[in-house]
Amino acid sequence: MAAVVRAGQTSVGICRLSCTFVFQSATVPGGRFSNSPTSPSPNVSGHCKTTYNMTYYHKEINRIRTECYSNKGQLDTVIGTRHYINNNFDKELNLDLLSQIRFTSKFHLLRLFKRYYGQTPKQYLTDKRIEKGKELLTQGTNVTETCFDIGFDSPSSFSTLFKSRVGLTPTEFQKRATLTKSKEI
Amino acid sequence: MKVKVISIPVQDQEKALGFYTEKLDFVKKIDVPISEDSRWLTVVSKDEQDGVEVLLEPSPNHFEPAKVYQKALFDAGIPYTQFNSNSVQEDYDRLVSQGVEFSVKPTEMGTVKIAVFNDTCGNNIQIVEML
Repeated sequence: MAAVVRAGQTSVGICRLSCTFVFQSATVPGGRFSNSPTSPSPNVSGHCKTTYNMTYYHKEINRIRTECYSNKGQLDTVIGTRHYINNNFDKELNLDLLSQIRFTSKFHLLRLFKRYYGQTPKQYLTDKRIEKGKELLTQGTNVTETCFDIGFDSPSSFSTLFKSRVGLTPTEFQKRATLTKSKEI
Repeated sequence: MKVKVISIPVQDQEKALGFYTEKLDFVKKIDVPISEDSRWLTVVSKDEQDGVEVLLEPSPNHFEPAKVYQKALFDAGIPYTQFNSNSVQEDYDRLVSQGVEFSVKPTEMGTVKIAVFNDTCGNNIQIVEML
């Protein structure tokens, strides 16, 4: 289980909830703090049902699932696009290609991807490439080979982007990674 | 500035260390005594031992507002923080077999799958998997 710093440090419970799921909006319900097993809690359709021992957070999960994540078709489209990017990050990818694969318009795909992931497919692809770049550099692959292996066109564009994201040039990063490994030994 | 440490309030540091290392498979990173009853105690993920450190902080024992806040979040079922998982279902099955209690079983939430468990030190913790 990889520890990750996500937005879990806010001071308001529902802000924590919305940040935890990384989606665009979550409204705070008014006064639904009842956790009593006998008090009814309305679901989104308006029918009341009794929720036994369900925490406030669990009720919120159910509400948000229904309000924000009920369109399976859209979810399949964006999840499928993300998987395609994960498996083909080293190739030349663009919105035209991605939208053709999912049989949707590129503008619609762009909107959906941004809505559900908070970033464009291109931004996600860049993140993925940098992440893979770091792995390859840590394993000892040279900078030029890494650059082309992860789908960049030129070492200079790769180095510039890498430095802006990571704070170190690929060479500096690799040196530091090698030093850390040797310390562990 | 860089993010190197996140903090989780725990009521018992030794118990927390046991839970986070034995159940969650984290690795102890730093352990420095500070006073008679507290230490700077951090753990890291076994898969990212140079990554972000999780500070197991005994704040509920020393600062009443921290105790109040922790209890309020816990009673509401709200996770104090979350960790990424490669497979929420596998982690759920493994942790349940080790006696860990879950308030939210593996549940799909759009583009992720989540589950929430009790860390036995006053917190709910969420695990999340990208679908």
